[in-house]
Amino acid sequence: METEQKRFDSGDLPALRRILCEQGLLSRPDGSASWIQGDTSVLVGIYGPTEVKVSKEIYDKATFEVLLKPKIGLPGVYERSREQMIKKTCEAVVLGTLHPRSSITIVIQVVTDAGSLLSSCLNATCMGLVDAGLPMNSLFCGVTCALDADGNITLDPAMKQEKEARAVLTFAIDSAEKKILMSNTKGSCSVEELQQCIAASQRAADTIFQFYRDSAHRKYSKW
Amino acid sequence: MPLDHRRVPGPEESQSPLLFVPSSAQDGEAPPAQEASRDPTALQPLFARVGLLSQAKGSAYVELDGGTKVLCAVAGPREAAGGGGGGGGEPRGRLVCEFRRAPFSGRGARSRPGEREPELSLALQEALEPAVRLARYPRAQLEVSALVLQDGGSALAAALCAAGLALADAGVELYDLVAACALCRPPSGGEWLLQPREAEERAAAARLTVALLPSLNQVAGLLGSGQGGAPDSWAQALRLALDGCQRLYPLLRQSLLRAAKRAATAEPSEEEDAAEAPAATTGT
Amino acid sequence: MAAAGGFRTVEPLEYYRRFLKENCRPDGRELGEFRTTTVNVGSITTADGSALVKLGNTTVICGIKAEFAVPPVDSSNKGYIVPNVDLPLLCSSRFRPGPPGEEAQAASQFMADVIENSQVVMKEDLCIVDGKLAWVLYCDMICLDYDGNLLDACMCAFLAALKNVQLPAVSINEETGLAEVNLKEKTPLTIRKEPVAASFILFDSLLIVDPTAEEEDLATGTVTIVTDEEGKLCAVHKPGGSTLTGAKLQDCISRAVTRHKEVKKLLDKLIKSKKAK
Repeated sequence: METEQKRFDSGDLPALRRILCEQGLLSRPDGSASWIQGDTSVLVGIYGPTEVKVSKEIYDKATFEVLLKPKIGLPGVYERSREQMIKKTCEAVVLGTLHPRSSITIVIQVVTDAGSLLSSCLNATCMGLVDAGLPMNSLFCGVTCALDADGNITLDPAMKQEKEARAVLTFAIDSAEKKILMSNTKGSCSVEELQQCIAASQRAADTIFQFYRDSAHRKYSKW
Repeated sequence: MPLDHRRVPGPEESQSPLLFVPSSAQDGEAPPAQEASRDPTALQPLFARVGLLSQAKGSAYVELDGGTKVLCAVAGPREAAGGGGGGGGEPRGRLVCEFRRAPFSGRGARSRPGEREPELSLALQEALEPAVRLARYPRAQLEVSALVLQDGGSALAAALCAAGLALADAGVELYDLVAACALCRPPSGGEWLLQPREAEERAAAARLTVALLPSLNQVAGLLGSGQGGAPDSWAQALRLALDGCQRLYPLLRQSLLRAAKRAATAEPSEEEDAAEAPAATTGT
Repeated sequence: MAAAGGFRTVEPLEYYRRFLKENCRPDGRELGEFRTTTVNVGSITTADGSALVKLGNTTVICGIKAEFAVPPVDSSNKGYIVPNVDLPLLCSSRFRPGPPGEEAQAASQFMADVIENSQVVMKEDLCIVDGKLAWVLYCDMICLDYDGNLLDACMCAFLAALKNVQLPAVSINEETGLAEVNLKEKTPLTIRKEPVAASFILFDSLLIVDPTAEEEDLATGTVTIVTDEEGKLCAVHKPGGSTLTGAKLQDCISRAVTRHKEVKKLLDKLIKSKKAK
């Protein structure tokens, strides 16, 4: 089941770290995925569409719930805000109107955080949604860029690079039009730098989508 | 102190800088002589404004000259939460009250935002219940929430006045408006003071808050604590408070009238529109 | 009028689209128009700094209380800034009573992120004695009336309240080693950057500025851009929602820069008039 992608070194694109992904590894959830990006590792379980609490029911679409569990301790305000971002990204992509009055719960467990955590969570969520077989209008991926003091862009930074960076930007990009689904920034940067980061992320997104395709292809050709 | 996972965490412990003011400087700050000389029956100038929040069904803001600022909003009536489930339901509506202080409302250290005021919330509820025609709202609940933005003394009394006005603004059927006054008794004995300021309230040996339905002349709520001395003294305090409430009543009425006039001149079609909206929503 | 009200309730999306077709909004604004912004500072005397901001109907009050604490172990020369957004039942019946809900928590984290990103106040400036004593600024933002665009109003209230903060002078008593506070001598904070937020909603590939609560509910996505006075980006916050191209984002940013100038002018005028008194 496991698929692996070697380090990408394509042209002028700074390298992404090694990606490893395994889908459907958990038996209880309706969809699951483990995503390893460099040393960062997250595990996602997806439940749904199932029954929804009456208080949370929405009459014309599915109710999404995202739970982000940190490696240690209880989730706090920080986790809650990341959950909101992932939730709203999924809402835009998954065709929730096909499952009215039902709930889709996404549980993300951080296994190790070694930088680019939010983008790893997004990638893992997307693979989990695919594994759960939920209808989506496009795929999405998360890309993190770090800007150092000289304005150089590092894609998919490790923890140390993130700490030293002047700014860290994370985007979620959709596979249909390569547009921005979600954006989150840490530190301050100029407008030009933002645009450069977006362009770099869009290029990196191609590699990740290729990886998605390869891993799905390999998973189903084994049968 | 248990960690609050729903708020941005701060340091584990912090102290108010007021604790570190050298005692010599503190004496000059609050001259007690000045307080003693005030007329015990004097009311603080009160400012009330009705209907200032856009999202609430009814709202009111009350400000006292001593610095107390209270905002109150009313939501509902809506279907009572819980409690329902098959068996007939309650014949009378329920009043759910919340009394909160903003973390920055007090003079000293910042109060923890999680701290609720169950006692004062209950006092609010008990004092408002006699004023509302709850029998007209079966199986429904009305939510009243009061927020103290700044506590300059007599906060509960101000909240009661604001709540009464907000209920009236929301169009809730009432027997009467609610007027309320606070009193306190200085530690030296002496006379009860009407509508104390924050410094007086802090020093007081006994406190009393009285809520009155002024035109019916019925006491709706009474909350007292502390060493008040002889029973006669409490009776005297009550008389003082009732007199104070009666004097407040015209002020509150005026503010309601002002708001009604404002609404009538600004948007005559608003009434019609508002009447239309609930009719359309009850069907769903 | 009554018929229009019914249409609004039954078909809110269609109702809204009809307005957009004519390039205006139900409240009479153009698509790129902000609501009237009013700021009032220093009204809460129990706080060390306070501000009340009204953005149309949306009202946010920010009160800042300064207290003493021991600096964090890992950075002994820093103080604390603790921002918290509260959405009480009072501001809108959509919120539940009790501890802060999801939206309030996300807003609190957003404020914390912007404070960290923009360095609006250097945490080093809040240190009094290295490793021993530092200021904690508890910034509590309470929404009093929720009619959309919470983040812009919070940001504005926070900045105005910060400008209003007066910290008492602190000296260390050599004999006892304890701090002594002189309430008569007060100094304002050093504010390094002035972050201002501008929020947009995405609706049928249109960008609409400063949404009301009704518009937010209909929208398919929101974007909030925070810029400082040099036009640098302190936050590009887009929590999901429908997609956006780089060019559209550029449009948002240039509007945010214009908005920054307006808000700064408003705040500067306010501070000046306060000083003149």
